[in-house]
Formats: sequence, C-alpha cells, structure tokens
Amino acid sequence: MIMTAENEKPKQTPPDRAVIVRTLDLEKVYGSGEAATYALNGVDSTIMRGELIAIMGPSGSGKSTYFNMIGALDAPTKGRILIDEVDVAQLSASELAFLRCRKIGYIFQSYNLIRYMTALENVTVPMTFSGTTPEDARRRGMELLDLVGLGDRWQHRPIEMSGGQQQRVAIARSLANQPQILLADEPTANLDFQTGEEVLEILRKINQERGVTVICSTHDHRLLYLCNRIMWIRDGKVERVEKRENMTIKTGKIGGES
Amino acid sequence: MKEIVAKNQVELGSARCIQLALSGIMFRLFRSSITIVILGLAVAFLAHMLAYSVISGTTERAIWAELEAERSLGVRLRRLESPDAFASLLLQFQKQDAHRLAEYSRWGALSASEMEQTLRRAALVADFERAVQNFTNRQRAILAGDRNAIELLEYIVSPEALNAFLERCRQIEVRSPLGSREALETLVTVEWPALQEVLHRVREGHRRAVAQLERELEGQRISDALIQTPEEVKGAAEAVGFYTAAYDFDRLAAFARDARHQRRVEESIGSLRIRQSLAGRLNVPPVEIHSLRVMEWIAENKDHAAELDQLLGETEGVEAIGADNLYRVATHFLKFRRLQSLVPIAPDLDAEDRFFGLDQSGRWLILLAFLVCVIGVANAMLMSVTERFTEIATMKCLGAMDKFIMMMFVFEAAIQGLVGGIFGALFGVFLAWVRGVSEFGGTLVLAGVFGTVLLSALLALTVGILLAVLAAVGPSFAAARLAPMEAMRVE
Ligand SMILES: Nc1ncnc2c1ncn2[C@@H]1O[C@H](COP(=O)(O)OP(=O)(O)OP(=O)(O)O)[C@@H](O)[C@H]1O
Ligand SMILES: [Mg+2]
Repeated sequence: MIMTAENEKPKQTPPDRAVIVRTLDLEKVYGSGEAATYALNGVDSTIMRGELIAIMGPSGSGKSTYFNMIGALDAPTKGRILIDEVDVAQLSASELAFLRCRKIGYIFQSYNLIRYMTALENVTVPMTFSGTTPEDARRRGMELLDLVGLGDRWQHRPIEMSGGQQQRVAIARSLANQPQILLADEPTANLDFQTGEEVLEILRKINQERGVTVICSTHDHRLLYLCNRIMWIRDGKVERVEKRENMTIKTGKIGGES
Repeated sequence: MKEIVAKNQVELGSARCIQLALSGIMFRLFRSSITIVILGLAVAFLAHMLAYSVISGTTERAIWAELEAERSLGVRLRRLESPDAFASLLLQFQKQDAHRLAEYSRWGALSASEMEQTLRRAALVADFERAVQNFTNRQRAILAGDRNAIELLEYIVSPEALNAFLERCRQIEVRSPLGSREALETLVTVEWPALQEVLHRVREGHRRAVAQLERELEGQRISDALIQTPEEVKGAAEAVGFYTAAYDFDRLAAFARDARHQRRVEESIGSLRIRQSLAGRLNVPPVEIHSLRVMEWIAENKDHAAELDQLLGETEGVEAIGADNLYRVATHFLKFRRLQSLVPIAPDLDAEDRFFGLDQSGRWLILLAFLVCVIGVANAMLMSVTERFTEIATMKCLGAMDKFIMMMFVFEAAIQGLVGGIFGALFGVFLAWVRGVSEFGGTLVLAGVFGTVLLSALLALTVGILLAVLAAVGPSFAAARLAPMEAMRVE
C-alpha cells in the first residue's frame, strides 16, 4: 500500500479527468478460518474517466476478483467501491441491476454465454433486460456481431463455436447497451494474433471515439502500447501503477515478469 | 457532471418471461422431458386414485342395488308363503318401513296408540342393543358372557340377575345401558314383554293371512299359482292384508318361475341317470356333478341347454323346462353369483357424498400419493434449477432483476406442469378405466361418473401445476437472491 501511494501520484493526473471508479481498502476473502484466501488484500485504486487502463499480474493475483468487485457483481469482505462517487453498497437491487445492465459492460474470462441461446440472442440479452424492443435489439445485435466479425454466424449456439468465436460474442454482448465502463477480463486470451489485434483495435476505438472507460486485464503486451496506464497486481495488492509514457523503455523487463 | 446515475431498472412483462422459458425448455428438451414425465407420473397417480375410487364406487353401488332388488324379490315371495321371523319383525318396527307397518297393524289389529307404543318400545330395544354392541370384547365377556343383546335382555329380567349385572357395570366402570336402573328395569319387566306380545300377535296374524291366501287359491302352492295367474294372486293377497302396491307381481311371477326352474335342475341332478349322462358329457366323474358346474355348462351355449332339456324330458317324473328357459336361468344364476362375488358386502352408500367417494383408507392412500408427488416433483424441479445456477448468475450479471428470474422459473415449471399434467391426468383416468374394465367387466357403470372423473383429472392437474410451481420457487429464489458471482460459484 505504501508502494501504491508512491507510484500512483494522483496529482499528476490531468485535472479534466474525473475519477470514475475508486476503491478504498478493498478486501475479499474466500473461505474462512484455516482455508481463508485473501484474493484481494487492501486495494486502493482510482480509475479515471475515459482512460484505458491495463491490469497486469500473474495468474491468481486477484485480477478477476478485482473485476467482480468494481463491476458490482460480488460484495467485498471489507472496504468500499465508489462508481462515479456513489458507494455501490448503498444502491438498491433495482439500481444495481440498472448499473450492470446499462452502465457497465462485462467481458468475462470464461465468457459466460448462455448455452441455449444463439450468438444473436446472447448479444441481445442485456438489451432485453433494458427494455429495448426486439426489432431494435436485433438490428443492434447484428451490428455488434458484424463489428466483431461474426455477422454470418449469428445463429450459432456457443457449443457450435470455437473458443475465440465465443469470446468475440462475449465482447459484442458487453457493448450491447453502450456502457460507460467496459470491464474486459483477458479479452484476447483465446484469439490468434490477427483476431487479437482486431479486438484490441475495437477496444481502442471504443475508448477513443466514444470515450468509454476501458479496464482490461491481460497478459497481452500489445495492449501496453494502447493503454494510458498500467496497474500491477500481485498477491491481492496493487504493486504499482505506471503511466505508459514512463515505461516504454522497460517493456523487455515487463515481459519477463508476467 | 456525473456520467453514471443509478436509476431503477425497468421491469419486464410476462410475455418475455414465457418466451425465455420456452426457449430454455426447447433447448433442454431431453432434461425437460424427464421433468415432464416425472410430473406426469405424479399427476397420473393422483388422477388414477381419484378416478378409480369414483368409478369403482359407482359400479359397486349399482351392482349392490341390483343384488338387493333380486334379494328383495326373494324376500317378497317368501313372505307370501310363510310369516316373518320374530327377529325380522322386530327389525321392521325399528326401521319403521311404512309399507310393512301398514301390513302389521292390520294383522295384529293394532290401534294407533298401540302402534305408537310398539314403535317406542322397539326403539328402546334398539338403544339397548346398540349399547351392548358398543361394549369392548372384554366388557362384553364380563357383562353378558356369550349371550347376545336379546338374550341378555331376557336374562336380566329377574331382580337378582339385574342387580348382579348393574353391580358388574359399576365394577368395570361401564355406563349401564339406558343410563338409569329404573329405565332398564322397566324395559326388561314391562316394555319388552309387552313388545313381545305384540310381535307374536302380528306374527300370528301374518300366519293366518298366509293360510287364508292358500285357501283362496284352492290348495295350490302360492308360488305355482303366482306363476300361472299373477293378477289373481295379487287380488287375493291384497284381500288378506298384504300391501301389494309395493309389489311388482309380474316380476315376482317371473322370479318365482326361474326359481322353480332352477330348483328343477338342482333336483334332477339327484337322479342317477341324469347325473351319469351329464358326467359323460362334461367329461368328469359323476360325483363332481354339482349345480354350479351344470349351470356353467348350460350357459356355454344353447345346444347344451337343449341337450339337458331333452334329458329332462326323457326322465320319468321330471318335465322338460324348455331350452331357452334353461339357458336364461343358467346365465342369470351365473351373473348373480358373479355380482355377489364382486360386491360380497354392502358398499358404503354414503360414500357418494364424500370427497371422490374415498373412505378412510382411501384418503390415507391419497395422502401418500400426494407425498410421493411432492417429493418427485420437488426433486425434479430442484435438479432443473440447480443445474442452471450459472445461467441465473449470468443473467444477473447482465442486469436481470430477481423477480424476472423467479418469474422465468415459475413459468417454466408451470408450462412443464401443464404439459406433464395433461398427459398424466389423461393417462391416470385411462388406467382407472382399464382397471375398472378388468375388475368389473361388462358390469362397469360409467353413466353419471363423467363429471366427477373429469373433476378428478382437473384436480390432479391443478395439484401437479401448483406443486411444480411451488417446488421451483424455493431453489430459484435462493439462486436469485445471491450476488451474481456468488451464484456463479454454487455447484
Ligand atoms: N470462489 C473462490 N473460492 C476460493 N478461492 C478463490 C475463489 N475465486 C478465486 N479464488 C482465489 O483468489 C485468488 C485470486 O483469484 P482470481 O481469479 O482473481 O485470479 P486472477 O488474477 O484472475 O488469475 P487468472 O490470471 O488466472 O485469471 C486465487 O488465489 C484464487 O485461488
Ligand atoms: Mg482471472
């Protein structure tokens, strides 16, 4: 935590950029007693509106857990999460559903597509929940599938698609309701070089053209060239946060680390 | 400026729910059909129990009515030929059958006040009999020994016996019959002798009436006269005090005729010649020729009837009956026997007014069936919900409200319950019908049960749907209530 304070240097962030997600002393413990695992152990972090932040860290360091917390998908054991300065713990069930449905887009590490729905149906689920008419949902769903290059596979079910294709459906779904925040948990992990490049390009475009805050965990070094900042997590703690300008020279070392 | 303002999520209509539930069922067609089959079986079980109870109850009551009609013809014929037994007289005064009482007051020359007295006394005796019947076996052994109620009544007529009886009642803490000593004493010393006197008088009157009837018919046996000239016998019987309006004399005559034919056949088997030739035809030793076997043989076909009739005609001292008559008597005899074996004791006649005609044990069985349903259905729904926790969790991550998720599962359960229930109810009723046919055969009575059977099918269907829905609410509520990622982790 001391390291975090030193590295974050909040005063250096541009003044026009407001904080969109803030966590205070976040802690998440799985299990109890002897078997207790500290997946997150006192995470203080701030994420600025409109930035593209990469979250890096070894496997099991708590990245997915961090995502679930700031995505309001799970309750922390201790600490607070503020989304646009509103404490998530104070929201009602209905407001939480609203937030998850329209303000945050999720790309899960394990996709979490619904097995019995076609690609298009999967993409339109969030639109169904937001009350979009079926025609609009269908049209926008097709646009999103085209965007991720799966326009011709809209009626395939998850089991009929490769891992990479499922991942792209998950990406299309995350954009269904034009979220303000996009949480991407290793969105390029299962993609070949070329498709991975395309997905990163999509993330970049969404970030730059629509001003969506993109929080992306990854082991993919290409992201380092696109992001504004990198947050390093290790053993449930924020190890350090760097701005991209300050670290281009160090890429070689980073590769060895993750 | 705030970019993210949390508002309330929109609530979705049931149309979307049903749509989602249906597509879920279609996808998991195999899994759903197992659930549907389990639901269907549970509903079939219930529907079957209810419908069969209705069908068999109605049939048994109809068969009993037919048997009773036949028996009452026998009773009527007997009453024309010999006086009522003492016990049956007493019973009739207790049951207060208007027709019988009219006859009795004529034969016993009972005045209105005498009739009233007699009815009151008969009712008192009935009270006494009921009290004795309600004793436990042990109490009965101590208080009455091996006497029945009437014997006991006659035994305690002496003051010593009465005292001893009351003393023993006190000892084993039994309320003495009729309550007080005085009431019991008047019953045994005054009422019972007076009642007996009237009953004897009535019986004597009945005997005189029968004798007079025989005289009137010029020495013919009454049943023979009845077969030939029913109208004449009717007039004569009326003249001697029988209440003939309640008697259908044509039916009575037919009954008497068939009874005579039947007796002829039974008597003829006694003749060695006939017995031997029948044994040859039936291919059994002569000792095994008895009336049931012969009746069965006759009923096989009309040729057999003709053969026997010819045999009878050739035999000295026996006259032929006619093949058609023989055949009819034999089939009727067998039918009566079969009905008797189907409904050997009186069915519960009040059952008609009860819940689907169920008796005590039937209701326990239904309860059991219901429990089996609950467990089967709960298990099926529990499985189909728990294997979908990930799906529930995903939907929650994407902004589904708890209510919507619950609604989806409720609709799914209701749809499955409806489909399974309809097939199950039809199947259950069909099975009840098959079981009824195999048990009662052609005597199965289906008239008038349609409404009740339909009702039992609908009831079972409703129970099935309700159970399915209730069983789905529990686990899906548990799932919907969790935070999305917690639900994702549940195995
Ligand atoms: N449901 C759970 N129960 C118990 N422990 C858990 C659970 N989920 C995660 N953990 C533990 O919490 C720690 C962090 O897990 P997390 O999934 O956040 O790691 P990660 O950084 O996303 O790893 P990866 O890069 O492999 O996805 C791990 O040590 C893991 O074992
Ligand atoms: Mg992870």
